[in-house]
Amino acid sequence: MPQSPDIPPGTLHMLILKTLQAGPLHGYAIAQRIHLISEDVLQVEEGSLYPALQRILVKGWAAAEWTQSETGRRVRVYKITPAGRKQLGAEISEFDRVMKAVYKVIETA
Amino acid sequence: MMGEIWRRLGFLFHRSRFEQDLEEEMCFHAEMAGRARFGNFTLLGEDSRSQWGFGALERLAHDLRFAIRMLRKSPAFTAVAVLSLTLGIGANTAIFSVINAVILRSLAVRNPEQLVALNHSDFRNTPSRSFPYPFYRELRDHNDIFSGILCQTGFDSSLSVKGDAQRVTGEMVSANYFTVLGLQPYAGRLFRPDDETSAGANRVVVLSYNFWRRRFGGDGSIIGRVVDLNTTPMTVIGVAPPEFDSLRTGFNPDVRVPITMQPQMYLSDSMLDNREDWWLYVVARLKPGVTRQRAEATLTARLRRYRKQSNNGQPISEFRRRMFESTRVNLLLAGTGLATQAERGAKQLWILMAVVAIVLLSGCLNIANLLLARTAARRREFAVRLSLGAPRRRLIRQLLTESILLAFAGGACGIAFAIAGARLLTMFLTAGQNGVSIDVTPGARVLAFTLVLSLLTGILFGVAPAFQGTQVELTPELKGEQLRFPGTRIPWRKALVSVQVALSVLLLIGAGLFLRSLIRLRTMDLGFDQKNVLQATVGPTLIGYGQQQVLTFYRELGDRVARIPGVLSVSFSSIGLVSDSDWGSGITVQGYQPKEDDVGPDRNIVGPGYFSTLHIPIIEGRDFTERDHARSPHVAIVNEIFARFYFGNQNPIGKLIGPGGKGQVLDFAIVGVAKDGKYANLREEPQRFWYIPYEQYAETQDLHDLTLYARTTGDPMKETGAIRRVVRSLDPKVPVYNVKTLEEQIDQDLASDRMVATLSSFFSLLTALIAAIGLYGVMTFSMTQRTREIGIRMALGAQRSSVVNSVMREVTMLIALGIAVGVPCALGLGRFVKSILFEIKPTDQFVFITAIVLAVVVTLTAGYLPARRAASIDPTLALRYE
Repeated sequence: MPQSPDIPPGTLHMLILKTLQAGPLHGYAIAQRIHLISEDVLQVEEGSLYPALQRILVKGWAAAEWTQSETGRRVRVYKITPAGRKQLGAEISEFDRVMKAVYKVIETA
Repeated sequence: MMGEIWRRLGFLFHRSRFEQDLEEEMCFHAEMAGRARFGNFTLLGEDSRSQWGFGALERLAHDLRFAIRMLRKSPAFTAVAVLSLTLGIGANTAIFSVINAVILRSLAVRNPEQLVALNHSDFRNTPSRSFPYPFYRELRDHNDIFSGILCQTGFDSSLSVKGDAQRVTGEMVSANYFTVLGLQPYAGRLFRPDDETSAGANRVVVLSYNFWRRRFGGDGSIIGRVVDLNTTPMTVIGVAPPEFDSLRTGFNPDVRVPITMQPQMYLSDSMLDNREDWWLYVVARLKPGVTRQRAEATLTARLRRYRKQSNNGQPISEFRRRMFESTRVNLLLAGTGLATQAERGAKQLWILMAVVAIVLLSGCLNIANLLLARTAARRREFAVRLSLGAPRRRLIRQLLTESILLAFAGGACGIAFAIAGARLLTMFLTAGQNGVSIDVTPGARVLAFTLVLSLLTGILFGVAPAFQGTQVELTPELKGEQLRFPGTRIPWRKALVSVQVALSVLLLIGAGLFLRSLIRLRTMDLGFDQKNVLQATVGPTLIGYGQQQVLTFYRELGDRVARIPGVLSVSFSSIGLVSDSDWGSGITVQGYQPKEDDVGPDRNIVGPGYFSTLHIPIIEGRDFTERDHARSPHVAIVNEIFARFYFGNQNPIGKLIGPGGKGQVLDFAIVGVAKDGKYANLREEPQRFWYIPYEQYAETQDLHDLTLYARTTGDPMKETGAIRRVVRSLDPKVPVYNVKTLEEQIDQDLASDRMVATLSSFFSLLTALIAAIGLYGVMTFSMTQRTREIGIRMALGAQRSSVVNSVMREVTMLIALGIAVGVPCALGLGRFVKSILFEIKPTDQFVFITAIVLAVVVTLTAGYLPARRAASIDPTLALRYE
């Protein structure tokens, strides 16, 4: 199995928040969703996922609560907050700006 | 932002729930991912938790908890360290809080930094802060440099309410005094401009808050009532604010009256219109934007003009012209108060500050030494922690936290110690002065000082052990095959010991100088015999006796006191001996033309038998007697210097002299020559002095309170009651004050010398002891290190004595090094203490040799003990050691 690439630094919060925008999810599901949508390119390790989630809770970008999953398991789901949406918007546009700049450099140089 | 802090706090208080949540969540994740567990759960948990933490703060709390645990594990070490720090930091805080109160603290007035005190000087270079009232008035009414200008001076008087008389300290002030200072009354009102109109017209008094509480129990109805000050009825109009004592450090007047009441308060002629009476302190508030330089230039010009005008168009002599032209006014910052007697100890306080700083430094070195040994013993612990991945700086931080914690513990105890110490110090400083007290309650500045000092102390003694101790070679340490202590560390510690020896030599020399100077002061010939003499000032003038009544009163008092069985003889004088006051006088001498720049002799007026009572030898002629009264021929007694100065080799008996000034009448005939002695204080230069009988003086001038001197057969204090009873039997209203033995009076003059000598002796011995302990500790430690080596040497046939010798050689080296550093330091610092030494050079050989011998004996003893122990090592045991 090829080594999955590192998630670019600083983008993990954005990815998590973006995933949560569609609806509340638990930690494992967030990792799965990112993995799926990125067509198996991005692999979120637990080692970075949970500290990142805690960080998001501290910042108030998401709220966590315990609910029942479809299988009847007690799971902790994360729900994006209005502050989180604002943060997401800001991070996406910033990311966009940086990526455009990076492309420009790659293409011309 | 606030939300985030709240969430973090929430985490802090529900920590266990958060952890459970996290764990459950991750177990679930692992299950879903089809693994039993994932990776390093502990690390992950820690990473997740750290998102919530307060970072540095939390680590600090952790370090502190650990530090407390470590210190509790070795209570003996902790107790010794905290105790030494309590003494060290406490002594520093105590002296600093007195310095703060006496020198640094700003007055509780509006914008104290704008206040300046006027000071003038001329080519004779005698700076003075006193000015005449007319000059003050001129300045007050016309100037563009000050936004306000006030004047003040102190006085003593009696205050009586319905015949109940009491002595009070007072201050005469210009009516704008409180306004310029920006003070509001505590009760009633303060002075208004119309309280300063003309001499004797403004009969109002403002009480100080403390006096109002003390004398009138804080009774508000006193306002509007009339009290008698020096028999002049005055209306109480208000109470001054409690937070303000006065402009003069340590001076707490009980009452304030308008400056125009001077004739009544001094019981003398008015000085208000006299252009040549220099008697008022002038303090002003600079206008914003006016520099001191500009104000000084303006004032200098004004004062020169004033002095020329005062000459009244008379021809100006060369001397006076030079005096006028060299007149200068300087402005001194007055925001922290004007100097008074409380400040005579300022220099002494700074010296003591330096002494206790050195004690603390030496104590710190000892604790650093102890810590070095301690960290050495903890090397294994550090090795384990380092190998588990703790960064070295984390260990250093941990160790520094421990030492700073120790320092803070010492600082906290030190403050308690300092409060008591500071009170004691101010007792030394204000000994025997009326109306003087210093508030040394530690304020914010003192607490900040202690805090910073503790922090610095902690870092000072902690930094070397922290860096040295954490330099650990992991592998050997963990395998238990310690190199034990790499060679670098011991020399380091030995250097510290040499520094300690140097510091203690320095302090011992200092203490020796102060002590020797004090002994000189105590044992010198004063020209009179201070043993078995009681003094008491008796004040019938304060309660309104007329001149004749006063004379009768003193004559009767003298007779009755002389009849007390324990009293041998009695006399009186106007200026008390060694009371730090003098009475400069002009002088007219038959056939002598005085020089203009001659300040003239000092004088005193005394009663019959003054010289025999005080055992002042009469060299030629006779003492004053009962027969030298008002109607008999006027007589005077002069001292030897006086006689030599004016008459050379001629016989002074029978020569005519008189007080200088106006008439220049030669109306006193010299009948005796008394031995030279000390008059105002013990440090004064020998000077010309003359005496006349007070009864003859009283013919032309008002008499002030006289001080009674009684020579007793036994302990003078035993006669106090009898003397007070005599005064009461004559008139119970007459105040008696200043009652003490003449020896006590002299001791008070020496109070600050005694303070420096006592405290510096104590602290220097303490420092020597600290150095001895340090040396003992290091040598013992290094002997344990060398057990094996010594064992081998002894096994190979070394004699005990040679072992002892080799150790003592090292000890001697350390001590010699310390002395070699300490002595030059003492020589260099000598000039800073020169001014407070009496008749002794700061390079006094006797003191230097004694101090060095003392330091050597103490430290050699400390070094000999471990040496002897090393020599008694059993070679077989020593070789098996380790």
